[in-house]
Amino acid sequence: MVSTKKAKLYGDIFAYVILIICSLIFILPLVWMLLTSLKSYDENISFIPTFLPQKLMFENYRVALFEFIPYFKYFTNSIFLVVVGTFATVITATIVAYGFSRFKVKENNFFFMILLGTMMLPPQVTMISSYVIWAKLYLVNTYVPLLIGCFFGGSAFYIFLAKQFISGLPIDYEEAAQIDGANKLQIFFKIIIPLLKPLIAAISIFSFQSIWNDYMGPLIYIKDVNLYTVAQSLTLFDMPHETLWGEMMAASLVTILPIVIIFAFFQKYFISGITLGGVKG
Amino acid sequence: MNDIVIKNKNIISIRKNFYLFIAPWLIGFILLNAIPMLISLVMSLTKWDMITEVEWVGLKNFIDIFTNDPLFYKSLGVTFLWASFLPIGIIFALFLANLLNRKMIGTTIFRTIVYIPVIVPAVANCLLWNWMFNIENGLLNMILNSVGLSSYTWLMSEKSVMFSLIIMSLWQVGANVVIFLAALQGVDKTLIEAAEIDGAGMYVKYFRITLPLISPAIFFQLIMGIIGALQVFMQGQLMTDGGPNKSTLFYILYLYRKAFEQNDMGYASGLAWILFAIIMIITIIVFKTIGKKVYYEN
Amino acid sequence: MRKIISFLIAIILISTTIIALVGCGDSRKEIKIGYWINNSNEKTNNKYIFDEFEKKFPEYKVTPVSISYDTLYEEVNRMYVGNTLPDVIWMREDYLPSFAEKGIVENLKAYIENDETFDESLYFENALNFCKYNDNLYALPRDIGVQVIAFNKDLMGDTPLPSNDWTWSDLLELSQTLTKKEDDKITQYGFGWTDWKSLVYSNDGELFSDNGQTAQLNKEETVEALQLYSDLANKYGVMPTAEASQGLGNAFTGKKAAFAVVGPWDFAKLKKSNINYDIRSFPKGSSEKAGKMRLSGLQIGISSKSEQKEMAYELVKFLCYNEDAQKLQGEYSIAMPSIKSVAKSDIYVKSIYAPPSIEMYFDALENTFIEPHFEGEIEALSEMNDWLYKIYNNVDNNIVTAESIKNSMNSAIQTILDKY
Repeated sequence: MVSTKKAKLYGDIFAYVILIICSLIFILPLVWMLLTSLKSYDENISFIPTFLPQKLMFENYRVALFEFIPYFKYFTNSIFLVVVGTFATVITATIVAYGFSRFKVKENNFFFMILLGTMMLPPQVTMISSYVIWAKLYLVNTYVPLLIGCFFGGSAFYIFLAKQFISGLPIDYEEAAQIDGANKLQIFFKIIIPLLKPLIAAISIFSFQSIWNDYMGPLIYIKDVNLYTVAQSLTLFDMPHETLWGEMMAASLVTILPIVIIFAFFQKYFISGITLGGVKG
Repeated sequence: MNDIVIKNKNIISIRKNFYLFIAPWLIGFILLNAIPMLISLVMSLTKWDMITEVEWVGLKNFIDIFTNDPLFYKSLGVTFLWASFLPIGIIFALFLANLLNRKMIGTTIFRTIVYIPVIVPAVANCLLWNWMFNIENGLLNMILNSVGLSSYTWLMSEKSVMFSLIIMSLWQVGANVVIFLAALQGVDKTLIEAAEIDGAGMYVKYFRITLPLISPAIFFQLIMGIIGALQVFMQGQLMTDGGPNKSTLFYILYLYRKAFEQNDMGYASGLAWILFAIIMIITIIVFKTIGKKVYYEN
Repeated sequence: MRKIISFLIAIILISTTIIALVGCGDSRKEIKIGYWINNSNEKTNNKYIFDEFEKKFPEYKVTPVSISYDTLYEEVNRMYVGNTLPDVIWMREDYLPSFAEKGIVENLKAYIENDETFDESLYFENALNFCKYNDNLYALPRDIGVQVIAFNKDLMGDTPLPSNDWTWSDLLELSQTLTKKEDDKITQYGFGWTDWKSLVYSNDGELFSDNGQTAQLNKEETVEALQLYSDLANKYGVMPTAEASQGLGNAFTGKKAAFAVVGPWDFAKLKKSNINYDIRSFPKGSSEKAGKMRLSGLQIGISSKSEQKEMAYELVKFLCYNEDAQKLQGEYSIAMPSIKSVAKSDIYVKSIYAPPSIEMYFDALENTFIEPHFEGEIEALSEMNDWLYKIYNNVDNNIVTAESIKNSMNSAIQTILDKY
């Protein structure tokens, strides 16, 4: 008993050392962003950069969030997009993944390869055709092109991730329920979903972050200044003849905040100890 | 006779359920993906800028790509070199995930910090790293100099630019860490405990039990990693512009230039489908080799 | 539970579509203009100009559509194919020929000819040529400008500014005098920045001839200019090297250089940073021949698929020709108006965004040429970057002289030009 305790202690110390070093490195850019956001325009464009700001320019935040752009309107737009998108993605991705995971018919592999195949063709060559199709449907300048994919499983990334996870779950629960007469859909919602908590947490985090930070999609489809997303609005600070570094970093930091909160929130689903025992034997 | 009937009925029912569950994706694929993909396939047989008249050239694009285009091979080489560093990223992510999976105080904070680089907006990211990589006044060389090491050439030299971009991407390993964390959560504690009681040491516990149980996640990272690495683009576009001297001319960057700067959508589509074929072949090979070794609970 | 979820989703989808379609409360007809914001001044100021237009034509409403400067080429192409291009669009001078060639923008010849009030002489010389392609007019110029050399008077100290007849050797001497070092680290550069093309032009060199069919990169003037470009940084140490400037800002606007090449948009930046400056035109090249600099500016054109071309023409004319609008531009938008009388009036000259020695600037403007743009230019220039790297980037201590690679460089570029 003693030796395991000691082993854990040594292990913990080792872990802490590594993690602290990594953290310092990983957090560096964030520190840089913070310092830049507090520097004046002149300091930021000076050729040889200073490390600490000479004067704390808190007004960069005021200008960025209230004067330069209607930041909080865009914030709300983005919230709408992530909520709808993540919700739809989690539900549809897990449904589709369950199909691929549990129903081994001959065509399964074929369709799965097509699924992965959708990720293998560079989007640059389908961008314009997709745009033209949406334009013909008069749906450019709406959120539909950006969100529609989420209702069909999100991308192959989420479906594949979910499939791997579901395939790792023991089939015993489902078999028990089937014997009890439940149909597949009932089994799916009542039994599988509760077991997928870490997966759902992971998908939610990724989906939230990917929709929240996506600026390419909005740049192509959203031209109405009232419909901008928050990530898209960050590009407005970088104008051809003037880059508002301080304000851009200020807005960027505020933009990161919700994701950090969501990440911290979903941590409780990552707490170890989900025991799946109890059915075997 | 009855057995076969029951079996067939079962298969029909399984098949029905299969299509029922994958319907959301299948419908979406037909509506959203299939048409643009087909259009681009057709376009690869043309020389067309999408505005002026279409010029049909049949397989000329493909022939030119393979016989008359040194940049095709160059960019493919650059991209494969980039992709070859993928295992480092996966191993590093796995390593960090294991550390972050321990029951210690403060793991939430560490996990968040590890994930933060992933959520920094791309614009801010590139500007930041451009500065950090600056040879005379950038942060990284300042740090190197302060501990007595000489400055590194980072993005400015052909020999060091790839390494610099790799470092930059390793910094965003948090995304992979999250996936491994989720997978590690799914590892049944009772199995580990049972092994401990049987006297298994650390090595056995990890390599014989944990690793196989998270092998689906490792396999996922590998496949997604291959698909993603071969389509690397952002860093080439925003940070190095393919240089210096085409040493970071990634395949997609080359494709992008063909499509949007030289207005040859047909040629670019040809390049795209060739890449598609390459990725598909590699993926199928990986599925049939390493894929067979993945342990699925059922 | 599922029913509630699907119900919620349906509501959300429906409300999105409604929100997206809303905004049709206006009964006026829309005229769409696609543009980007150049700097924070322009952000608010365009509104003044649009309001004036709406006062003149009350049945119309000007709707901004944002297009990006960096990806303008793709965006315009994409929007044209998808038929969502705004009625009026801003253009970049390097893309105008391509847009014209493809029929994306409307030929304005007929409009001008039918417009009796249009007086071409009101523009600066070359301003209209700047918007032409193959002798047809495809846009009107909103503002024009030219590169000059700006001197930071504070950093110059007691050193006098050169006369307008100065030469490359004067430039070299001056920059060496003004480069200051401290313990082997440069604290002030003499010459902050130039782009290599301008150096070639100031030496009376040319890059491409016959409208982009022949490469002229191995000509003496060009080779000399490229060599100077490299020497300034690597041999004489008066200009930041490639390593020093990567990822950082501009040495001159960052107050670390005594003088540098600036473009018309920089005047605003300099004023904003309180740099006390004056300007001179480019020095003459080594052969004492005066080279002409290229004209730059903003062209605004009409989409050929617009359904309101007549009105679009009115808007373009308003922005680029109408005296009131040009005055507003001079006052608020800080890009120099292209109408001579407005530019030379106090509204612009006395504004804080006009450069000092304004007469010199006007002279420089009259002494410009139109840089040709052609199919294949983007690819050729991209290839040029790799060759420049060999001459200019000394990170691995392996730079070569321009003279030694001039022929291989020229044939490589020529190969690209021959493809088109």
